[in-house]
Amino acid sequence: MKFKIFSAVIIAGSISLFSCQKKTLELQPFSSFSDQSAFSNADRCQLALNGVYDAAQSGFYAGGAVRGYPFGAANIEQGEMRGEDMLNQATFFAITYAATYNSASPNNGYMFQTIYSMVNKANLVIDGVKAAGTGGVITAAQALQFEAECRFLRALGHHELVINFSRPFADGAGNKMGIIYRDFAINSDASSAAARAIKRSTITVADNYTKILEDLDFAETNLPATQTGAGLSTYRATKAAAIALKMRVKMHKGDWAGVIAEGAKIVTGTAPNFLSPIGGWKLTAAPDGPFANNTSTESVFSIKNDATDNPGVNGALAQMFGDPALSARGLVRVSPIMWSEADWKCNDLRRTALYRTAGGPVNAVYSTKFRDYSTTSDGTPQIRYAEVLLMLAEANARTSTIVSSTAVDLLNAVRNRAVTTPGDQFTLLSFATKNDLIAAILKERRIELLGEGKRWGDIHRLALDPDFAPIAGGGIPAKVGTGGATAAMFNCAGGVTITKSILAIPYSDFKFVWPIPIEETQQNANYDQNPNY
Amino acid sequence: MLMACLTLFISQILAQNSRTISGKVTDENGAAISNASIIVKGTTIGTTTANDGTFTIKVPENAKSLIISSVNFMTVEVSISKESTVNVSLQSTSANLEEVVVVGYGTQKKKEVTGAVSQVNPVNISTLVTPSVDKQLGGRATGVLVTNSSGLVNQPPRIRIRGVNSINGSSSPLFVLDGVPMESGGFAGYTSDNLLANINPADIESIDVLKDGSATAIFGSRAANGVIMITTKKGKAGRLNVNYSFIQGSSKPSKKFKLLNAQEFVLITNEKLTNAGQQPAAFMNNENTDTDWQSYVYRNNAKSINHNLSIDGGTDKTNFFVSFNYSDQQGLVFTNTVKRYNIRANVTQKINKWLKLSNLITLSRTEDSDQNNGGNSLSGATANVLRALPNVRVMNPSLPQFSFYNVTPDGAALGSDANTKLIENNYTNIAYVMAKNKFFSKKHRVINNFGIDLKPLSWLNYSFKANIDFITLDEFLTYDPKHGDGRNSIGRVQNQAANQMRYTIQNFININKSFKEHNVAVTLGHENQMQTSNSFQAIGTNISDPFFQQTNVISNSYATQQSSGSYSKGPGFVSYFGRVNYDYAGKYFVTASLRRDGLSRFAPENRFGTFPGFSVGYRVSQEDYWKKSPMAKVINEFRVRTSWAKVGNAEIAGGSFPYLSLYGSAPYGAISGIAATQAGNAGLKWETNEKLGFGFDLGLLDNKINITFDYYKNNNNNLVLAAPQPPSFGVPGNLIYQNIGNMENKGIELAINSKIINKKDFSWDFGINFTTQSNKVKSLYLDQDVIVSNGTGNYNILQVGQPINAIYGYQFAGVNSSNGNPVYVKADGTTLVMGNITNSSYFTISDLNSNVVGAASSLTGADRKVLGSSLPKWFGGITSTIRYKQFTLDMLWRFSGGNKIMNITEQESLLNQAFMNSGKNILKRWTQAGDVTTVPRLWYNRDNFTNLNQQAVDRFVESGNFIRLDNLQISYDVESKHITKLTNSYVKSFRVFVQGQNLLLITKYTGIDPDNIDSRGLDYNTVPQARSISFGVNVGF
Repeated sequence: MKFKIFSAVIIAGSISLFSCQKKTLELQPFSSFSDQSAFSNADRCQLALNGVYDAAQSGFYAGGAVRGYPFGAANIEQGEMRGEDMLNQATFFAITYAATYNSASPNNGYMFQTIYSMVNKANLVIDGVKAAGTGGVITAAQALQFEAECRFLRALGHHELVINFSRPFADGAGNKMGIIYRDFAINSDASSAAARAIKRSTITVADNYTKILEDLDFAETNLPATQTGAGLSTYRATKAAAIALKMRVKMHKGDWAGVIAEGAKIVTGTAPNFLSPIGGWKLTAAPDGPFANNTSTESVFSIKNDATDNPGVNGALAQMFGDPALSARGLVRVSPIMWSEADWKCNDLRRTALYRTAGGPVNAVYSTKFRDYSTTSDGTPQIRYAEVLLMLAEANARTSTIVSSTAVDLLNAVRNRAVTTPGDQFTLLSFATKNDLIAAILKERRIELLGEGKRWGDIHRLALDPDFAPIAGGGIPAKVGTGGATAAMFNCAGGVTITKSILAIPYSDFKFVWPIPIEETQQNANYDQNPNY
Repeated sequence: MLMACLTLFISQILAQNSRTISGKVTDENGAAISNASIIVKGTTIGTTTANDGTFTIKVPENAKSLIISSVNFMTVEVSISKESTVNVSLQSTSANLEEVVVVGYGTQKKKEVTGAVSQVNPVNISTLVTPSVDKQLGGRATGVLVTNSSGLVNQPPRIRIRGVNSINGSSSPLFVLDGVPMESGGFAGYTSDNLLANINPADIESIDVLKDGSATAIFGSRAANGVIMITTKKGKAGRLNVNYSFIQGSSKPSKKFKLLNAQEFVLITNEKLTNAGQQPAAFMNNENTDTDWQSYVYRNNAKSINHNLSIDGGTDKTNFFVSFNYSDQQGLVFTNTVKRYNIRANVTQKINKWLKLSNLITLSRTEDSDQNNGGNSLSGATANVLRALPNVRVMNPSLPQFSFYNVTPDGAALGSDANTKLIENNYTNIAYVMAKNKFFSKKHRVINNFGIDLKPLSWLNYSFKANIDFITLDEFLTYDPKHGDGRNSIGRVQNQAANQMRYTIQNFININKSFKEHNVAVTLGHENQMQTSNSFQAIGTNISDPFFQQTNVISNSYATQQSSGSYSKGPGFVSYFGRVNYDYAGKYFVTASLRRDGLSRFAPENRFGTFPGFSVGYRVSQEDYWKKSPMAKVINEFRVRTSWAKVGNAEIAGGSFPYLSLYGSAPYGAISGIAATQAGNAGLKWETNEKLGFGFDLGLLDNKINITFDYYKNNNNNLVLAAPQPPSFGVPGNLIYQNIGNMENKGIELAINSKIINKKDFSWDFGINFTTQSNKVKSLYLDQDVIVSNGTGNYNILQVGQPINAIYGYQFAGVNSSNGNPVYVKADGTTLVMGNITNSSYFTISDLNSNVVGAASSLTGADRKVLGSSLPKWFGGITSTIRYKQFTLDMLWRFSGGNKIMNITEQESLLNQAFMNSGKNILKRWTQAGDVTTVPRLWYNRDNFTNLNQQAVDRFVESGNFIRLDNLQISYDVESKHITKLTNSYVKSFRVFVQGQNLLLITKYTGIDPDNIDSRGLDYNTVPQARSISFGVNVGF
């Protein structure tokens, strides 16, 4: 009897257990797709493309934090902190500001990492949508457009890398060591091995510019003039954005004719009412137009942030740049170097519309360009129409043998909406030489684009400019010490003494370019380190 | 009718004549044996002895004899024809080799065990002030290294058995509760939490630590890191026992950080500023405030209280054990507490001769309360307290809108009082944050283990076990809207709910059969395990009024709402296992085991792994020639054993599906998106761990001294490595999981236990255990070094030939005495470079104190080298128990060393160059030519340059050697005859004790505590360790 019971239990137990082996072992994730199904229908192709934009907005910083690397906010913060026009208030950005970075410091390291992470996602999606296009999952036209958006971001990413990790094009006409351009997807041992074989030492800055422009040419051809969906013409790449980015790339290359040729496609009309026939971009009436409305007619390309997904209190521009009195952190402020710039008129509307001052006698100046302090949803402007006009102005001024009236018109279009006193406005006669005009345009870039991360680009591209280098012989200008601004240094009319305890770094110094992160050089001997790091 | 029968039955029992027998049970040396079982033969009448060995029992007139038994002693039968007093001396079973050891899916006698198993006596732990048993395992057994890395009461300790046996996977042992693998670690999201805290230390009958291949191989894929077997108490046949114990204690930090006072702060901070060309900005206020911020964060009297009531008893058919436990322990940070409510109920019922049912259940509720402990959080309790300005007030009577706390008028930062600069980076008023923000989690847990045992033949037993481990979590977090972490989002509330269900089903048979001198034991079985978990979270920010932030998210009280959630199923295990033990004449022992595990974490073709283990033992002292030799007089017990096994590690890196290439959610702002989250590797397979061991056991002088020696070597092959991909590839996480990597752990273990004195009224037991561990990485992906990031910096390296996570950084040569600049040694080992603090540049110099600057140079990543092992190379414990009459003095010393600690707390916090408070060591800074010091010239905001933050420098790398008096206890047992007389036999035993924990630490380490390190040897702004004094009583009824 007992044997019967025993046997029955054993048998019943064993059967039930063997039958559930399959259920126990054959599990699938609930929170992720497998890569085979990521491009299996049109909606998923679109989702995967959005994921590339997400990589531009919120790459992971050390430990997985989202701080707006590489294009969500961090490139603006880093771009300003590498220059002298904004003031680092506390230790938060001290490494970049005082140029004490090394191959292990996170700010420069994660810029490198998150850009390449975005690039690989773009390359994966290019492969995915091409296959989806061939397979009829999406139309051929859609496949081309998606690919163009990926290549636009890929070009934007590589350009950011080349101006931070390599010497400017002006140095030896691009014959200095460039960065490795990743143009195929890496997702397997085979592609990893192929990538590993590429040597940085064989790649020049000029090679990089060629590839960036190839990508942008493709993007220009295949991108639509407008993107459907509220605000998406700003938050996704369009044809005008590709052209504007080409202008910037060619400007860094010193190809002024190229800048003019590209500019002709998106700047038409008569001064001061310039207009882009592609996409309808134009300046807003007021200087704070693009900041009051993140998808204004001037916002050619921005990275989207929302209350639910943004760089947070440790990264968002409103938090970092904003006034603590408005619940922000105010870690990056306007430097007296810029605020006390006499060429920036005291009654310039931008001084009040886009900045706040604190103290009885001013001892702190905060940007209000980014103003959603509680949910930090401000978009991150990457290309504004004002920048397009100023690039075109500079190209015209430089290529002209005399003071270019076109350049003056373009400059005024931007400047006069803020400088409204007729006596302060420029005319052709304001400039004795073409160099005076170029200097005024460059100064206007610093004023108009202050706090938008463009300062580093100018310091980099102008370093070897015989006339317009930020400091003689090029280099990173001296800066006010961290948190070292006092009321005595602030005067909109200038004429104050500004103590600059952070010394200038000459162009010849190895610190002019960022180090390649140690994680890269350790794992990839073919990614040569910049000298002395 | 029924009533009538019952009445009749009872009156019959009462009518039986009975008599009382009393007596005492002692060992060979006259020492009392407590809790020995006394049963009247042929009945269910029984009792147990009190702490002093005495007993009293009423026996029927016709009773013939008593059966007296106790663990580790030979059972005796005593005739009681007339006697009213029975004093019995029990013979201890040969050494401790007759002791029962709990092994996988069964038990063995210690003499039969050919693997390496350590036992920890839970009695010594149950009286400690401790939130969980795992925190107290350190120093008690060889091979087991326990690190409690902070003074937070609810943080699980780090336990490593015989070294670190995985690079990227888990290195924590498997916990097995009453035969079933159990979840360990933590489960909460908003607070620290320890799942082992759900097991009441007082409910534990035994703790067996399985260390080598042979002992662990039956657990196959889960054995790589060793196994800790916890067995709970069951009722014993005999008298009903009721025990109540109460412990109350008080703790304070064993050490506090030595920070600058207000005057020193003003001096140092202005020097930082003026050296950097800025104006002085730190000033004393008109009250001459000197705030000790540590007293606003750390408790000086953290209370703990523990009530424990247990009832156990049984008949020859039914045994039960029930306990109730309430404990409330405060941590050292004001907001840190853990409260525990536990019920344990174990019942075993014999249905008939061959069928037994049992059910063991734990019901538990844990309430964890915590704070922001972020090492680099502005409101992180310790990170903040190290930096808070001592010359500003805590309170400011003119700020009613901030509940009178001293903050800046806009609420952004700590108030500045007379300072003309704000605290750097807007650090907050930590007293405000502690008072307002809440981190709370409630956890309910049910562990139920139902078992059926069938014994159809005397030598065959079939067991079925069905176990569930269900955890439900309910958490709440709130940030004040005005100041602190919630200011930017105008207040924050969030709730999280999570559930986890794990079930395990086991079927196994045990066969025990002897043929003459041949003894065979066979275990064969099957196990299935699966778990599911889900969680969801609701978050509200921009709160309309702090009123709505008290206990839960309240609908419509916040402007911005967010939610999140997750679901996972797995990992699933399917296992088949078997073991054969054979011995001949108690002399030769052989064990072989085999387990085959299937795991859902791998692709179908690689799912199953086979894990064999073998061991042999030889009890030399049982041989006749030994027994006859004069040696036997000295060495009465001598056994050698050796083992080999190949086991695995199921807790590999990469989560549930490391073999798949995956796309996960990646929204672009509010636009939905997906993106690659993992590059998979379909060929991924088991991480294996080859364990080789050799050992011997000696019993000297009639077991007065017992020595156990072991040598071990673990070879970890095919490690599932998060093979680093260069960041420029852009592969998600910069990794692809690969079976590449090999690491070795080896060392020796030596345990000596002796009964130095063993007299009736006086005994002294002394033990020492000592372990060495040597860890070496033998191969890596492409054999390339991996610089290890801890999330904020890179202090460690994986390098072939070095121990795992060796500390890796720059060599500091000193401070140049002529200019106060730091000087380092370049990679070539001779070139000195001086960092010019003025402009953050490097120059070569000819000698440390030279004022002549050489060529421009640099300090590059390649100038770093390995600075030391982050793993202790040796550790152990010393135990001593001295008993004199009714007094007992217990002691445990714990030591560890051979490791290096990178003191980031000193580097980043205490020697910061910002407008923040610093540690006393900064007073040693260089100020003028000729100063010889290791602290360079101050320069405001040059931290990264002067201290090389985010990287290791040997200036901050120190030895981690220490010895610590972990526990000292004095107890007094009231003599049973007194207590029974005094209480008219209502009370059987009474014991009082007073004890201290962590009373003394001897170390040269200058940081807060050499235990306060993470697994990579980094000391980073952690809560100090507690020093506790407690007293307690145990009462037996």
